[in-house]
This record gives sequence, structure tokens and C-alpha cells, in this order.
Amino acid sequence: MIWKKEWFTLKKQWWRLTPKTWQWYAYLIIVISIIFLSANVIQNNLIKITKILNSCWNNSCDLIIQSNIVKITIFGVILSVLIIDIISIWENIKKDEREYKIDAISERNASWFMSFMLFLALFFNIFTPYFNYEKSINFFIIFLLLWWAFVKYISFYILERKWE
Amino acid sequence: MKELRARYDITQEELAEKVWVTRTTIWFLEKWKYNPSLKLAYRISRILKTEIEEIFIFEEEDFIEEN
Repeated sequence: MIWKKEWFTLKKQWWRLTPKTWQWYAYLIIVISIIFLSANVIQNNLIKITKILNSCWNNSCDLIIQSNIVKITIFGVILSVLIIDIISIWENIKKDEREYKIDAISERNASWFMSFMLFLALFFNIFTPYFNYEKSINFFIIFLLLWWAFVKYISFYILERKWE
Repeated sequence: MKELRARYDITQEELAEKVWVTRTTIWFLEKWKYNPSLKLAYRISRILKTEIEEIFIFEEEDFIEEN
């Protein structure tokens, strides 16, 4: 990883990092610049490839396309590495235990509310067709509810095994 | 905890940084509004060079309430 733990102080809430040193600001400026540059290069090369594909059919065009693909790949790798690096900051910087609890309870409440709303949506989805004389069940809601249950029980299973 | 902190001349901010929590958490601990984890309690007791039992008082009611 590019970043160093010493650059930061404790994580307050999951999105907030308190920079402690100038290195963090330098890192932020450099990384964001590279991300924008990479995204721009990838986008421009994709546009070039599309234009070439629509207007040119000889061997020299293939070479140009190949060089564009190489550029996209290189900048794609750089972009991925930087994004992973940024995500790793969020993962590795510790959180205050009180705020961790608060955050966990808030997430739980949001999850309960979300699942309640999904059940409510499913309930309306099942019963309103009787008034409209239409019969259709939104399977997307059922799919979301199944995923919600799946993620919950997978998390439960992993934590149960981890802390047994 | 406040007295111990004063004895060793440590500010809330300094103690918070040493035990890797926020200053707000130290404030809540001193006001008896937050029960620390065993890990945090140990860290604080080491910094303040005092036994855990002398800094924190275990109350059965709090344990029942939390669970």
C-alpha cells in the first residue's frame, strides 16, 4: 500500500478521516489527479477506438487500436491499484470503539427500516392488483429481500464461527 | 479517572491519542456515560498506572441493561 498509517488520526464515522500530516494532503492531491488523468485517458482512447472502428478497415488501423488498448490497460491497472489503495485506508484505519458501536447500531436500524419498507412494498404489490384487477408480482422486491436475508445470515454465520 | 489524569498531568486529548479513541469518548467515560471495552479499560489503566478496578466500577445493572 502507498499510504502510511502514521499520516492519519483515528477514523471518526466511516467516511471521515482526520489527516495528521502533510503527506496525507499530498497523497490526496496526487491520487485524485492520477485518478482523473487515468479516467480521462481511458475515455479518450475508448472514443478513438470507436471512431476508428467506424471509419477504418485496414491493417494500420489495427495497430492504432492495439496501442489504444495498451494505453487503456495500463491506465486501467493504475486506476484499479489507486482505488484499492484508497479503499484499504477505510478498511485499515481504526475507529473509536464508541463510534464503532454507534455506527453498527445505526446501520442495524437502517437495515431494519429498509427491510420493513421492502416487506411493505411487497405487501402492497401483492394486494393492490386485487383492486386494479391486475395480477403481477414484482420479483425484484422478492429478490432484494432474499439478498437481505442471505447477507444477514452469512454475516451471522461468519461471526458465529469467528467468535465461538 | 479525571483525578488520575490530573495527577499525571495528561489532558483528555493526550489520553485519547494514547489509547486510540476520540476525546469525546474520554469525556463520556469521565461522565460515567459509556462503558468501555475490556481492551480500552486495560489501555487506560496502563497509561494511568492504576488497577482497572480503581478506575472503573463494575455494576451488574449495566451488564444486564446492555445485554
